[in-house]
Amino acid sequence: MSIVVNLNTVLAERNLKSKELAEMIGITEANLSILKSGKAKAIRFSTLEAICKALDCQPADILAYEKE
Amino acid sequence: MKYNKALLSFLYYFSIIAFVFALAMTIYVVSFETFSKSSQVGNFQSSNHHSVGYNFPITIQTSIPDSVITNLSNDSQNSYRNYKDQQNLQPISADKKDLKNKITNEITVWPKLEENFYQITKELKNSFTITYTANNLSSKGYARLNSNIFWIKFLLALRTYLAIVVLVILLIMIQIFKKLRIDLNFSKSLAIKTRVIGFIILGYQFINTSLILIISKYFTVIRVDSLLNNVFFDRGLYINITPRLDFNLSIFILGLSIIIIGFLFNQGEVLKQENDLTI
Repeated sequence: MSIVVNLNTVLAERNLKSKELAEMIGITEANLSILKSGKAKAIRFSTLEAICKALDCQPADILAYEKE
Repeated sequence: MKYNKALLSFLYYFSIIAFVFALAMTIYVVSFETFSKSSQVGNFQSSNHHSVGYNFPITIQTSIPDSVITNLSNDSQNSYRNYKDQQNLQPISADKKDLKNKITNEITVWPKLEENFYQITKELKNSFTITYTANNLSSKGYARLNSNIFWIKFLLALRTYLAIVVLVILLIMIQIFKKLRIDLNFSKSLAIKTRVIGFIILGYQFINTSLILIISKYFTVIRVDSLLNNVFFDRGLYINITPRLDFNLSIFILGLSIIIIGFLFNQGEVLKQENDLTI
């Protein structure tokens, strides 16, 4: 997958744990783990919006495109 | 959802009952085949046995030239008459029952008589007249064939016991319905099992038809003709027994359709996974 999820970096910058973020945006920790590991096939706009709101960031801070 | 569960439960228990019944029948027949030297033990008997032969699909054609046979069910005489023979209205002996008996004496046959041409005229509420324009009757049935050549006998037995695939299909159906009762969703195993059922049905049809074709080479036609004063009577009643290609097109199409449904389930599983992995 050439889309990389940089959620770990953003979480580290804000000193947040996955569990706390999962609670804030209302998804399970397992789903957040799928998202972080890059196994997710797609991400809903609503989830992206919730993450950006919780972490006070832009979608580009979380998602990045890398040439394979 | 509630109705789906009820339907799945019904199908699950129905499959179990059908499986148990089919298993009991299989054990019964196989036990006879293995442990008994004759097809009858006491009051129990088996229609397929190596001592008497195995059922083989045939077509029976009967021809009654220049005849109109009327069965008057409301008539006390209740006889079959040849109306061409106006001078001598004797019931002809070759009625359906006699015909069956005659065949039974030659080889064992259970004809399911399906008259091709008949008209039904309702006369009264509880009685009716059936008029057969009986120049040519054709019926599908099974003849019991046996052979002293080992490999033909083996092929006949193989064709008969090929029906055991029903047990496998029922077993897979039980597994499918059991799983769907718990979780009514697409899954990899559902797709595979559905395809397996489809391939078993197609395989059965293919092998069964091939076996009939091979055996038909050695069992061509049995013809029974009429004799008049011990002389061959070419305008009399005759019976032709020929092998029937027991190929059921609707079951073949069913098998193909089940395979397609299996592939669709596979596609459904892919979509489900995509949906599950959409966060």
